[in-house]
Amino acid sequence: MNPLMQRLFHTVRDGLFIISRQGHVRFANEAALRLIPSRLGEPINNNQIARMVGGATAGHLSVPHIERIQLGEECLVADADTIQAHLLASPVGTDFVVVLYNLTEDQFFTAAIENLAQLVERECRVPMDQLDEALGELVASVDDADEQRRIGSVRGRVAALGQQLAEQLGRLSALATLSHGHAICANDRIVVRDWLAAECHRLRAVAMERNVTLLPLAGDDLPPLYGSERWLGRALHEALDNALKYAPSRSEIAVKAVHLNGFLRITVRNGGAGVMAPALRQRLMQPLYRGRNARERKEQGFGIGLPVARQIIALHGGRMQIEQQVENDFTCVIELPAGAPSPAEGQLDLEQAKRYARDLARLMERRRTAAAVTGSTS
Amino acid sequence: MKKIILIVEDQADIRKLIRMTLEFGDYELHEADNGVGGLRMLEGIKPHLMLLDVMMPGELDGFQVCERVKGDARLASTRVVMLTARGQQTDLEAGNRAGADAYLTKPFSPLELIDTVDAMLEQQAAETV
Repeated sequence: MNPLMQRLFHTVRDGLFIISRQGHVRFANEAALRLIPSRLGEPINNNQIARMVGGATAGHLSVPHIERIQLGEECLVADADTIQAHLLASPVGTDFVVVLYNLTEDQFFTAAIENLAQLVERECRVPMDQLDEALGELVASVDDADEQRRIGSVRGRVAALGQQLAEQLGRLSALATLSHGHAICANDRIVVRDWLAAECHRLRAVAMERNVTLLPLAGDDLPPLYGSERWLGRALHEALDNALKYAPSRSEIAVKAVHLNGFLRITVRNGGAGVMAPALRQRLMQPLYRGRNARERKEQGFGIGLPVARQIIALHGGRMQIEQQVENDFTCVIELPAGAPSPAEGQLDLEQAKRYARDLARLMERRRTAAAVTGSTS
Repeated sequence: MKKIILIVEDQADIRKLIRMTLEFGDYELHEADNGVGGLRMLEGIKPHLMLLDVMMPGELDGFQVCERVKGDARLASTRVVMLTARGQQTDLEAGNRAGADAYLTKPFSPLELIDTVDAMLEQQAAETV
C-alpha cells in the first residue's frame, strides 16, 4: 500500500484491517492492532472475524456484514470490551476490509452525558424549589406592602429562571437519551386535535409574555397518531417553542394539522424575520447549531430543541424540516404516519400461532363431541 | 339464513386465523384490510357482526370505524367486537366511548373468539326479534 495512504489510515480513530480471502492480515492500522493485536501476513487473531472472512470467501455470508464482538484479555485498549466489526469488500482487489468500532467507548460517552444530565437535573431542581420556597417565606415575613411586592417580583424572576434552567436540562437529558440509542416503543393513541390544543395550552404563558397567539387548527376527523405521547409531546413542544422565539410581537402562530397521502402533516408557521438559505435551514436540525438570527438576538438555547424534535419524529417513522416560501415566513413541517404503524410481513407471534393450533384442535374435539351427542340422541 | 360477519384487520395472518376459526361455524364471512375498506363494504353486506382491529394504519383506526358504525342508524343492530393488542384501560374507555359491544385482547384463543361471536349474535338476534 502507498505509504501516504498507510499514514492516513494510521491516524484514523477506528480500527481498520485489510484481510486476504485466506484470512491473513495484509494491513492493520494502529487502532486495529490495539483492539486485536495481530501480525502482518499471519491469520487474524480473532476467531469471530476469521469466521466472517471464511464465510464471505465461501459465499455463505454476503458483504457488507456487521457483527458485535466481545474482546478478550489480548486487547490493549483499557475498558474496551465490545466492538462492532463491519466486513466490507475491498474497493481494490479481492481482499476484505474490516472496520472496527469501539462500542464501549461510545457507550461510555453517551452514558456519561446521560448521567450528567440526570444528575444536574436532579441536583438543580431540588435546590431551585427550596430557594423558591425560602423566598416565599421571606415575602410572607415582610410587613411593608411595597417591600413585599419588590421581593415578590424578585421571587417571580428566580422562579422563571429556574423554569428555564429545568427546560434546558430536560432538553439535554432528552438529547442524551436519544443519542444513547433509546428506542421509543410506546403505542399511545393520540387524538391530533386534542394533542395540538394541549401543547399550545402548555405554552400559553410564554406566548402571552411574547404577545404572540398560538392558534391550533385541526379537524376532529383526522386519523389518530400512534406512538409515544410523551416523546411526541416534547417534539411538538420544541417546534412551538422555537416558533415563539422568532415570531414578531402581536403575531399569530398557526399550528395546523392535515391528512395527506397517509401522513399527518403538522405545520407550525411563524412570521420570523429574514431569509434563510435551504442548506442553513437544514443545519438548524443539527445539534448545537444556532442560526445567525438566534446569535444576534441572543435568544436562549443552544441548538438542542429542534435536533431532539427531529430525532423523535424520525423514530416514529416521520420527518421534520424547516420550509420558507417567502421572506419572513418560516414553517416547521412535521410529517408522521397516520394511524397505526404498518405491520411487517409475517408478524404473527410464534406463541400466538402455537396457541391457535392447540385451541383449534380443542375446537375440533368440541365439535366432534357435539356431533356424537347429536348423533346418539337422534 | 347465515349470519354475516365482517372481519376488518390489517394483518393478513390474523385475518386468516380468524377466518379459519369462524369456518367451524355457519357464517358468511367477509374481509377488509383497513378501516376505509371496511366501511365501504358495510353498506353492501350489512353484517350482523364486525370483528374490528383497533390499531390499523391509514385514514381510520378501529375506534373511528366503530364510531361511524354506531352513528349510522341503518347499522344500529350490527354488533362490534374490537380486537386489540393493548388491553389498556384507556383503550377500553375509548372503545366504550365509540360504542363497542365487546373486546378481545390479542393473542385471543379461537375458543374465546367463537364464544364471543356466538354470544354477540345471540344477543343481536334476541334484540332484533
